[in-house]
Amino acid sequence: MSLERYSPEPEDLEGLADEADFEADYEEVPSLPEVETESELTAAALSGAETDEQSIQFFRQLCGRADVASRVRADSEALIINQVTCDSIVERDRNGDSRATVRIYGVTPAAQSVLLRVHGFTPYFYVAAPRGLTEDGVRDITNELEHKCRSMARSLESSGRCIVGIERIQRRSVLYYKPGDDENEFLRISVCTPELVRVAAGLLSQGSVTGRVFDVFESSVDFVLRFMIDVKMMGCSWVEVPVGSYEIALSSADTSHTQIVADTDWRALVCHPPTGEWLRTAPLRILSLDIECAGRKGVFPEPEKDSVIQIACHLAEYGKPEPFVRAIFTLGSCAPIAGVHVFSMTREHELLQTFRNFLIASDPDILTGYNIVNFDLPYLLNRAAALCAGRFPFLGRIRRARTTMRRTRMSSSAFGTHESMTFAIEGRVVMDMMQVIIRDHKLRSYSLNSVSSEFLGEQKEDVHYSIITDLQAGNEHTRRRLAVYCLKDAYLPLRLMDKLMSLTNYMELARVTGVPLDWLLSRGHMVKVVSLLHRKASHAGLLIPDLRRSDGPGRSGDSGPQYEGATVIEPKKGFYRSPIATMDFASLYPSIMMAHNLCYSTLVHESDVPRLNPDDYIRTPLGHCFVKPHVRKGILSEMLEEFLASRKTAKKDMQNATDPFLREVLNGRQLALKISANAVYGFTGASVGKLPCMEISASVTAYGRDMIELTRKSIEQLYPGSEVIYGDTDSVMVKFGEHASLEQVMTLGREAAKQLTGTFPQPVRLEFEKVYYPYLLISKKRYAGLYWTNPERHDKMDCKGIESVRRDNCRLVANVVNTVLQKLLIEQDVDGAIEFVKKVVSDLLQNRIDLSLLVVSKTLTRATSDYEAKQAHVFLVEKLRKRDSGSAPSLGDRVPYVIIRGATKNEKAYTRAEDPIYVLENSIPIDANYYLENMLRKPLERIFSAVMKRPETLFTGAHTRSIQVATPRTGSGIMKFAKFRLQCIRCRAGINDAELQRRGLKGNALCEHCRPFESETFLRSLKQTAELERQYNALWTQCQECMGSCVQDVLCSNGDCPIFYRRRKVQKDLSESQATLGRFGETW
Amino acid sequence: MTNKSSLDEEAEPSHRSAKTTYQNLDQEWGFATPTGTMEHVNYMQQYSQLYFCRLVEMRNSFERACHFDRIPVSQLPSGQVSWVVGIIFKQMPMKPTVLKSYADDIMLPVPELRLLNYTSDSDRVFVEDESGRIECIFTSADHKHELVTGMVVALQGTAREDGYFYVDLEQLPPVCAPVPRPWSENTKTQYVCFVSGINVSAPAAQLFLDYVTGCMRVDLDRVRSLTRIVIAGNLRGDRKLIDAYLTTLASRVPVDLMPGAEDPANAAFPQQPWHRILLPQATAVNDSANRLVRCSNPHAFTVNHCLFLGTSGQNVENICRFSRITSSLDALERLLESGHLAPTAPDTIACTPQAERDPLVLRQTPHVFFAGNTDGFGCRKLILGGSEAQTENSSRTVTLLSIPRFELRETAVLLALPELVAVPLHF
Repeated sequence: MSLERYSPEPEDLEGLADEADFEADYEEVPSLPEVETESELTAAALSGAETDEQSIQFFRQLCGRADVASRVRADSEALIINQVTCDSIVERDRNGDSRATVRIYGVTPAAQSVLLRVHGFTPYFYVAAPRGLTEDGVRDITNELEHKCRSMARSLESSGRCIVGIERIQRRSVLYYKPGDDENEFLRISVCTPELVRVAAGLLSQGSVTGRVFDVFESSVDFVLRFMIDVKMMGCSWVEVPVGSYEIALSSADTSHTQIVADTDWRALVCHPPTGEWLRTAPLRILSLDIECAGRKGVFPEPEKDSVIQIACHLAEYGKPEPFVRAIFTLGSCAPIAGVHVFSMTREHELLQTFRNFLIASDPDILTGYNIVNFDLPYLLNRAAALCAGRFPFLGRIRRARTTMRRTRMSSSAFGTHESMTFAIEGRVVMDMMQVIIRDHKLRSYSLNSVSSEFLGEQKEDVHYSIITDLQAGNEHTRRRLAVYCLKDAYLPLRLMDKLMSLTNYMELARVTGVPLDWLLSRGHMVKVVSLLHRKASHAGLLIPDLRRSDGPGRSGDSGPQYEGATVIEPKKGFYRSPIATMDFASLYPSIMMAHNLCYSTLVHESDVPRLNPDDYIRTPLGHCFVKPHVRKGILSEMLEEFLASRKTAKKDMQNATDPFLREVLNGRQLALKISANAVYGFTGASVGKLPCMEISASVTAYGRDMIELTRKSIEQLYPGSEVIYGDTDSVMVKFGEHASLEQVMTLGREAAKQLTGTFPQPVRLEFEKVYYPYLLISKKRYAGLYWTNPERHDKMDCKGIESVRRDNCRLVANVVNTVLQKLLIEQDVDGAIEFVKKVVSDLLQNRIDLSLLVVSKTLTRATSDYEAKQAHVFLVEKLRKRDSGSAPSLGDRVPYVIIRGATKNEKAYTRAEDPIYVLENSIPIDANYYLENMLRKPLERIFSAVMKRPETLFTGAHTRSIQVATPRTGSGIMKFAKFRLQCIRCRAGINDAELQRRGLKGNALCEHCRPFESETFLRSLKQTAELERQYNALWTQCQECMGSCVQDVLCSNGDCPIFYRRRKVQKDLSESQATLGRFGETW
Repeated sequence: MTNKSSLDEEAEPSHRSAKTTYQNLDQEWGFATPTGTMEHVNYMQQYSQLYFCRLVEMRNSFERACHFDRIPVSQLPSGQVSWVVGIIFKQMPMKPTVLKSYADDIMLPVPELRLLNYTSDSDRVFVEDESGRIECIFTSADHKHELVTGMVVALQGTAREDGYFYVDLEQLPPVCAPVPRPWSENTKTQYVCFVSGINVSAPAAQLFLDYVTGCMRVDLDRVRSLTRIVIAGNLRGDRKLIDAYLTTLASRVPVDLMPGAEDPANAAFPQQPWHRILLPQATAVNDSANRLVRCSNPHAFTVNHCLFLGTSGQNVENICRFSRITSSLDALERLLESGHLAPTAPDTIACTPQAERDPLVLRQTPHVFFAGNTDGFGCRKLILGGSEAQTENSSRTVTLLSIPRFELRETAVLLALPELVAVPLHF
């Protein structure tokens, strides 16, 4: 069940103007009561005397990793692993001192799972040393810090020391270029546990030690990242421990579920940069899972009350599209399924425990699924807690390490603010395909249905959870039916992962940015730049300050960036029928940073400027000063240059690569490099980020604006008669005269781009990319056009900012907008487009638009009483509860509705929302005007304002005069008392059946006056029936195909599917149409 | 024609010398025929029940005739040779889907890509019974192209760990031989004429009319022995003309009028007869002698105890699109062997949903099995039950008849009774 309970609606993602991107843990979820595990272990909750070990052994036969054929020989071979994830723990050594151990989890080239424990790496941070600090001064600091720390850190009740040592070193701060004095003295303070870094840094920065306030550096770097930076280990990279420098732990089975457990010292590690032979990936194991729960009628399943009834698993190996083991765990018997291992349990905690043992035995590196992070995994953990299944929540690779979760909230300009769960499952990476897709793609809806239809081109059967309970309550065959459905939901995420190359791309991103794989999904964009910046800085001997709030340069509190954004060249809106060349600056912001050497380390404080030689620095358009590269090369530009070079190499290698898999990896690599380069600018501009520097980010945008403006001037000067009609952040659209042909414009564009590139500083490059022809420019950031890169054929229709992807619109809007664009752009038929819209308007008024196009759906995210503003879907849910509390939607459900006509004029729209099925079955009239005014009008007027004078005429005039309304079957008001009388189907006059019979006329379809038209009328009804029969056939066979069975009933309730309402409607229409035909009398 | 008995009546046209018996057997399919036993269709149901009825009925016929132990699909033991009996489902990427046209978010009529053939090498074949479905792998890839969705077959093979069923042997449902016909050497030859896809306003249609009514005054021997004309669908042209044409035709020779894909009738199989409203003139006559029989499609009847069964051609055309069978005679043969009039219904031919029984299962083997609106004339004697030497007039023989679209070939088909020899007539 992939219930998109916490899925953010796209509107939540938009509108967050803040460039911020931060993470905050704000709540530990106390949902897991501590359960005494030891007593449970012996109690053998499993059936019979079977123990977890036996159960795991059983599953190892089925799907375990290949046995370690020959034991790894620490004295003769190196240990080589592909790192998957890392974490750290604090252990007590023989002296009782606490020390941190880094645990690297990975897979050998032979697919063996490894836990490598790395010892001896000490957490540390820096503070700026006060001037004239003596050795005694250092000792005083050490002693006082030790003392204070011990009283602060509760966890250290032992006798061990907190401060390992303080070392005096010479470094520079990354912030500001200071003329003259180069290196300063810093203290490198090593502590014994990662937690103490924060404690000690806090004490020092607050002036609690020696009464002095210290400037703290690099204390906010996560310990694992600190370790990775210092040993130069990238995410998902290869790590080698040379012969003789590691030991295989003999009692490995006691500590971990991995096949090999080894210990080593951190200095022994050899980390291979992910290039050349180290580009490959070990055969990682991926487990995709999906659970089904038995909800009660009308209530979304709650783990405290509702059972988990099925768990489906697909186990696959990285790089192979098809899973090699498929398994389903069911509560209650289940008929066999071909190719699937079915394990049926009679008690729910057995079901959970057996699944857990399967998971341990199959030992996956990656856990995936759809919305598992916010539904399946929390549900399993909470359910286990509710059942007191104390042995269940141990899903990681470390024995006796309980799997926990906590709720985190993440805000970022790119992803919006949303809550999410994060898990501590040692050694496994949770990669929820829903999160991946939300991050990487902007879609109308993120339900598994929509996503599969978008990327896999197929609809997914959707079984509502109220039906799920019925299937569960049936027999082994109905449960099998459910199992097949559940398995499909576990299979689709694997297919999506394969199709979208998600794992490959994310692994490459981890390798390029040096961040552990799991962080990429659970944290924001920032962490990537943090990692890159620290790596670069540590190499250059620079230290990164930890800024306090309202600290540092260019900070303006929390109110977000105050500088001017990238203003565009005002669009000259209109419909251009001549080719419009589009020129883009390739990676504009990174190029500007490189071209002008903009960096933290080259920024000159205003007070220091007079001390500089005027030839040694530049002043940006906003007046900030940065030294030139010959004085000091900025580390940001160095970093960006490396990205640029690596990307070039990756692209070249990609062209030369013959292995398709390698090509995909390299493609992932070059994408990752591009993403990373672009993230740097955002990092400098993030006002609530780790190291914001408005001098850099504001200067970058200022340069950008100047360059766009300069480009406009140069082009209009170089090519008389040409005109720049629009310019966005990094592109300009040029019209080269009225009569230029497509080929000419392409040649001119190429030439202009080349010529202008020469006038900009290196490496800024203006590129000619495409021609829009024709081009419909509506307003800022809203345009559409046919996209041409070669003069023979257009590549696609490109639309920006046009309402076709918003989910809170009904499908009609997207359909009409798309069709209009198609008419305008491809057929270049303005009149046709106008006619088409008029036709739709008139169809809508005459009740001829398919209902499924009018359905709007919203998710019920809170209890109805918690909504403050009156909203249509909330109002409807309350109405439906009164109608039938059992079948009404509940929290987390998508609520589809249409707006119907009110009984009186003044009824508010939200009170007129109605269930589409109810509307269909009772022929309730739709409020056509609402759809015209509130849905269609704005987007259409916007488009048509570019091509016609008075777009409002689309919605007024002769075509809007004819109105037809459905006659409601049940309903309110006067219709309750109306009696139905036979009507002539041609003229709608009343029919007196008895009179017709008296006169010997057959049938009662027509009144006596219409009898001369009997055959035409009959033929029309017959044609309609035939058409409906074809539709009925096409729709229902499609559903059978989707469902994957012929002899079973279709149960799907996927309201997102374009045929869901149609198939219901056709049944009703066909029954009516048959009845109408019957009224013409016997065939004979 | 107002009651049931009138259809079964024996008719003896006054100007014909030989005695002819005719019986209409459309009650299976026609709720709109006077004798129809089929109920009005309930469209509130789905197709699953229809498939289920088909599966159960045809599986029973396997069980009566074959000697193997069938194993439900879901219980196939891994690695052991076993038999399954189930419905074929063919997943075909090229198959047009209604979903695409709705999902594209474009409200313009999308020109439907009508291919002559929708098969491709990526087609996948599944076999399904009520316990589940499993994908089949055949030893030869061509094999899957002889199957179409909806056929009920018995397959012998091995289910392996990888979840596929590796098929070694395929068996089609047992088809019993037609009921032996009374036969004597000195029976006078009579003729049944078949025509389909005729446009009444075309000159050739007039020639045809003149020929069969004897106005052309050629071939009078055969014309006089003509006992019935079967119009196997798609009677085209102006409606008033059609009415007049039929009136004239039926006044001289008895006519069986079947609806076809292009006729004013419902679209779903079984198609119901032409309504009287559409043929006011031709139906005005009190027709107790079965001169104009408005039939269903499929249509079954006997003439002199010879059983005819056929359609207006939708089944044949469809099977040719969804398999690699190309000729209509091969398609007819395949249909007969698979024991079903239109296995691709409902998957790719519209048909009505049914809850009680699948009306398209072949329950009695006809002597003549025909289809209209094909690309060309063809006649084949199919000997049921294998290769052992059989004489032509053996009771095990079925005559397959492909009746070309008249508009295309200007050809009608004349079938001689009792010999069942067919000749094309060109106009």
